[in-house]
Amino acid sequence: MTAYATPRSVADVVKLLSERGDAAKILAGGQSLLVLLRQGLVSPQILVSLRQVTELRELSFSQAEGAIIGVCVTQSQIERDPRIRSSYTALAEAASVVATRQVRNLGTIGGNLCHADPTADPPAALIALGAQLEIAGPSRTRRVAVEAFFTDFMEVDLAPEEVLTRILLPPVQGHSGSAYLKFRLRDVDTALVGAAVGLTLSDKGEIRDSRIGLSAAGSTPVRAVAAEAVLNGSPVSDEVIARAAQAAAASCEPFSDTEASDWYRRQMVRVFVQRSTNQALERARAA
Amino acid sequence: MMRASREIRLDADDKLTGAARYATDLVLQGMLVGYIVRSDRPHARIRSIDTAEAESFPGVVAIVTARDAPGRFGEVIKDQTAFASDVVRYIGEPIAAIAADTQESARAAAELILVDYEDLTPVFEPHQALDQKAPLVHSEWESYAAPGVLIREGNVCSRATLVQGDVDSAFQKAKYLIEQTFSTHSTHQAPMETRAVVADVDARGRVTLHASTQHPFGVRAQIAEALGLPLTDVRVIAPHVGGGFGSKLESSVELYAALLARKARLPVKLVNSREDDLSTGNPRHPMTIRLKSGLDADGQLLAREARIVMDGGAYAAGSPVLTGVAVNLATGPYRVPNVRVEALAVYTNKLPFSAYRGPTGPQMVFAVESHTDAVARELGIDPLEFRFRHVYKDGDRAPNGQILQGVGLTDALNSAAEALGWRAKDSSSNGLLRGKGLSCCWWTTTSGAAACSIKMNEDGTLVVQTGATEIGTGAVTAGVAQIIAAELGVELDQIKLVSGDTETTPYDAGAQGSRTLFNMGAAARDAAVQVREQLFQRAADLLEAHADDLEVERGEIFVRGSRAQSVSYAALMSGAMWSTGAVAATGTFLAPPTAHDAQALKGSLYPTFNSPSFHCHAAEVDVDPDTGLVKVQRFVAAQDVGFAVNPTYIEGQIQGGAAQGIGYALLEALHFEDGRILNPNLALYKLPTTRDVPDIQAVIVEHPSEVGPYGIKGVGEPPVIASAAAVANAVYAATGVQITCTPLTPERVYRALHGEPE
Repeated sequence: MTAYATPRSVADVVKLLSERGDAAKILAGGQSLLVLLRQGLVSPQILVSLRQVTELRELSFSQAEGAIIGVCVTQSQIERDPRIRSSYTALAEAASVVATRQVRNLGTIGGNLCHADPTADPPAALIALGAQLEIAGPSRTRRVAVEAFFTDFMEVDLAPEEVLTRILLPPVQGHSGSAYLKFRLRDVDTALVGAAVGLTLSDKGEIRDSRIGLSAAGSTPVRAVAAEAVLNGSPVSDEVIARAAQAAAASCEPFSDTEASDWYRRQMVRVFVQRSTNQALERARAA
Repeated sequence: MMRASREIRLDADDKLTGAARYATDLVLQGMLVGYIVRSDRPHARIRSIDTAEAESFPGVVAIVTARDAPGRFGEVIKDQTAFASDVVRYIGEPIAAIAADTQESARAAAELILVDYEDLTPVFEPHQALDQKAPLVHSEWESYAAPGVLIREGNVCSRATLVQGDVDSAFQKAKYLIEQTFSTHSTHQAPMETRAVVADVDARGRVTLHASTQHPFGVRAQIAEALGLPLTDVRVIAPHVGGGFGSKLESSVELYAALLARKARLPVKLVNSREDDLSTGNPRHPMTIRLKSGLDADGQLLAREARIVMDGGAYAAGSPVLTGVAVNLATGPYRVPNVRVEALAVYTNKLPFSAYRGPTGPQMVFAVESHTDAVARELGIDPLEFRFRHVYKDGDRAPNGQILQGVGLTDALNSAAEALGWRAKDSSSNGLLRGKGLSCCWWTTTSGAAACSIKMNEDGTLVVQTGATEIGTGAVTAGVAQIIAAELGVELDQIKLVSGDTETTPYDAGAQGSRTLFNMGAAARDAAVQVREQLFQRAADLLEAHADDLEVERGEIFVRGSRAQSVSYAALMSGAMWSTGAVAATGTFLAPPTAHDAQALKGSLYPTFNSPSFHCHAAEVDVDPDTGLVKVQRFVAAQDVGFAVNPTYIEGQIQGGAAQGIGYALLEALHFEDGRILNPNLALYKLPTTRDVPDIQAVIVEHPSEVGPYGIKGVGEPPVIASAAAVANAVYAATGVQITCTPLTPERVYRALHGEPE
C-alpha cells in the first residue's frame, strides 16, 4: 500500500522528503507519475501531494524581476495567461501543445520538468527564455539554469530531499521575441522534434542574446549553443538563419525509434530551428 | 413496402447512455480471473514446462497447458493447438493459462512457471522463408489436415493462381510495359473493446461463453474442435460487442477461459489488456506485390501479371482463404483480357496475420491503384479518363470468369470526381504542395448460411431471433429490424431483437465479409413474409376478403383500396393461443454460388466476388516539402451499395472505414524487431484522431444486385480498402514522387522527395 501525504507548505514537503528519502515521490498534477505507477515502473511507499501547498501556485510578474511561475501552475493556466502569451510567447506555445486538453488541465509545469522526458515541450521553451529554477532543500534554497537541471535521460539535478518550487523568467526588454514550434504526427503526440527560439534585436538590427532549446533532439532537453553562436551578433539574413539551423542539427544527438530515424530528426531540427527563428524574429520586430 | 429510411437503431439508447452491457461488464458469483502465459521466444523447442511452483501460489485455482488441450484446430489448415507443446513459433504464443482469485495473483504465478527452451533458428521475413534452405516453421506441415484444393509446400501454406488468356504473347505485342513492386505494412484492428470473455461452466463441464465476438457459431465450432466436445457442450453468447474489424472472428481468449473454467469448475473472466490485444492479435498481412502491365498503342490494357507474397505469420488462420481473395484484386475493377496472378501466403515466426476489415484489400488496392496511376502517366492520360476507359460495366467478364451485373463503378467514379472537383486547378499556399488522387476497387459480399426466426407475441409485438451479431454497424439493430418492420407493416419499436446466441438463435455465418444484412436480411425477409402470410390468412376470414388482397400498415390489416374495415395484429392475436394458434416462422438463406471459370483458378478457396460492390475514393492532400508531412484536406468516398436500407448507418460505415483507411495510409503501423512488436500501446501505435481525419463526404450509389434482398450489396468492409491508394496518388499529384511503400510517414515522404534511400 502506498501512503498519501498532503503537506501545506514547502517546509513541510522538504521535511517529509528528508524523513522518507527515496521511498517518497512528489505528486503534482499526476499526468506523468500516474502512468509510471500504473505501469509498475515506480512503486513509492509514500506519495507527497503538492495540492495543498498554495505557495507553489504563484504566478506573478514585475518589470524588474520578470516572471515567477510556481511549479503547480498548470499547462492550461500558462497557455491562457495573457502576460505569458505576450512576453514569454514560446512558453505559452509550448504549454498549449502538451498532450491533450484534459492533460493540460491537470498537468503542471513543475511536474513536466521533473519528469524530464526529452520529448517534452516546456523545457525547450524555458531554455529559450533563459529560465532559472529554484529548488528548496533542508539546508538551503538554490538556483540552477534550466538546461543544467537535466542531467541524463529522465534524470534531473534534484536530491531526494529537495523539491522544485519556482521557475524564474528574466524580464523581457526591447525588441525581443520568442517562439516554440512542435513537429508531431498527430496533435496528441509527443514531439517528433520541437524547437524554441528566444532572441532580441539590437538597434542596429543585429541578433543578440539568442537562446535555442530543442525537444526530442537528444537524451535530455538540449540547448543549441552552437546555433546561438551563429546568430548572436549577426545581422538578420536567411543565410545566417540557415547556418544557425544547420549548426543546431549538426550539434544535437537525436535518437531513433518507431516514429523516425535519428537522421530524419536531425533534418527536422534544422527545419524547425529555422522556422522558429523566423517566427521569433517577426515577434521581436513587432515588440 | 421496403423503403430507405433513416431509422434510429434499436441499440442506440443503451449505447448512448452507457446502459449497454459488454462481456467485460459481466460479473458472476465466484468468478476467477484468467491470465495467459506467453512465449518470449520467436522459435524454440520446449524441453519442459514446470508449473508446480505456480500451482501452489496463493490464489491460484487452475493452470492449463498443452497437456489439457492436445487437439489440433484451425480455420482452414489444422495447424494450431491451444498451447505450444513441442515448439513455439512466435513471441506471444500461449504456453499456459492460469485462473486465480485476482489478476495480481495470476500475474505473480505466471512468473513462477519455468519453461526450458532450446532456441531454434527463426525466420522473420517471407522472402527468407521462401528460400530453399530456410528453416521450416512447421516441420510437420504435410501431416496437417487441410482442404484438398489447397496448394501447400514447406513454408508456403497456400498458393493460389489465376490464369486467363496468354500473358506472354500479350506482353510481346504491347507497346507499353510497366513493372513495379509495392510493399505494405501491418496494422491492428483496434476495436474500442479489447477481446474479452466470461466463461461459465455447469456440473457436467458444459461451458457458456459470454464473448466479445463477431462470430458466435464459429467460436463454438472452434472450441468444440479444440476440446473434442459436441456442439451441445459449448454455448457462445455475444452481448453488446465493442467492435471487431476481423479481430474477433476466431476464438482467442474464449478457448482459454473455457479450458480454465472446465478445470476450475468456476466461472472465469479473461480480458485482454490493450497491450495483449495489440501484440497477440491477428493483424493485417504485410504484403509484397509485384505488378506488370502491358498496353497497346491505343492505351488499352492487354495484360497484367502479378506476384503477391503475404506474410502469414506462424499459423495459417485465414491466410489460405485470403490468397484467393488477393488474386481477384490483381487487375482492379478493370477489363484486362490476359492475366497471370500468383498469391503466396508464407509461414514466418511472427504472430499470425489474418482478417482485418477487407482482408488483403487495402494492400492490393494500394498497389494496383498506385500502379494504375503510374500506367496512366506513362501513357500521358488523365487518371480519371484512363479509369473511365477500362472500368467494368454490366455484362463484363472478370478474369475469374464471373459475369458482372449491377456495376455502379462509372457512377461512383463520376460522383467522387465531381464531389472533389477533380478538374478544378489545385491551389497551394504557405509553401505546401497540393494534389488530388483517385482510387477504385471492387469487393465481394461474402455468402454463408443465415437463419432468422420471428414470433408474434399475444399482444401483436414481435420477437426476432437471429444468429447475426451486431458489432456496431447497425446491420442487425437497424437493417434486419427495418426489413422485418417493412415486410410486416409495423414500427421498429414493436420489435424485440435477440441476437448472437448459439442456443437461442438460429445459425449465422458471422459478422464478416460484409455479409450480415445481405444474408440475414434475406433470411429475415423470408421469415417475415411467412409470418405475414399466416396473419393475412387469419385476417382474410375476419375481413371476408382474399388474403392476396390484404395490406398492412402500422399493424392494421385492411383490404387494398378500402380502409373502412381493418383488424389489428393485437386484435388478431388476442385469444389466438386458444383459438387460431401461435404465429411463428423461421426464414433461411444461402446465396447460390456465382458461376465462374473454375479452370482459370488453382488453389483458391475464394474463387468469386459474389454480388460485388464498386467503389471510388478521392482525396485532396497538402504535402509539406520541408518535412514530408501529408495532411488530407478533403476526402470523398463513393460506394455502390445496391440499395441503401438505412443511409445514415451506411454513411457511418463509409466515414469510419475511410478514417481507418487514412490511418493505414499515413499513421498506423505495427513495428517489428526480430518478431517482437515494438509499439504495443496506443501512444506509439498511432490511430487517427478526430483532428487527423477531415470531414469525409460519403456518396451512396445504388446499382441493385440480383441476389441480395431488395438489391442490397455488402457495405461494411470496402470503405477501408480504397483510401490509401487515393492518398498516395494525391501525394504523387502534389509532389511528382511516387511512394511504393506504406505507410506514407513524413520521413518516408521526405526521403522520397530528397532522394535519400531508407
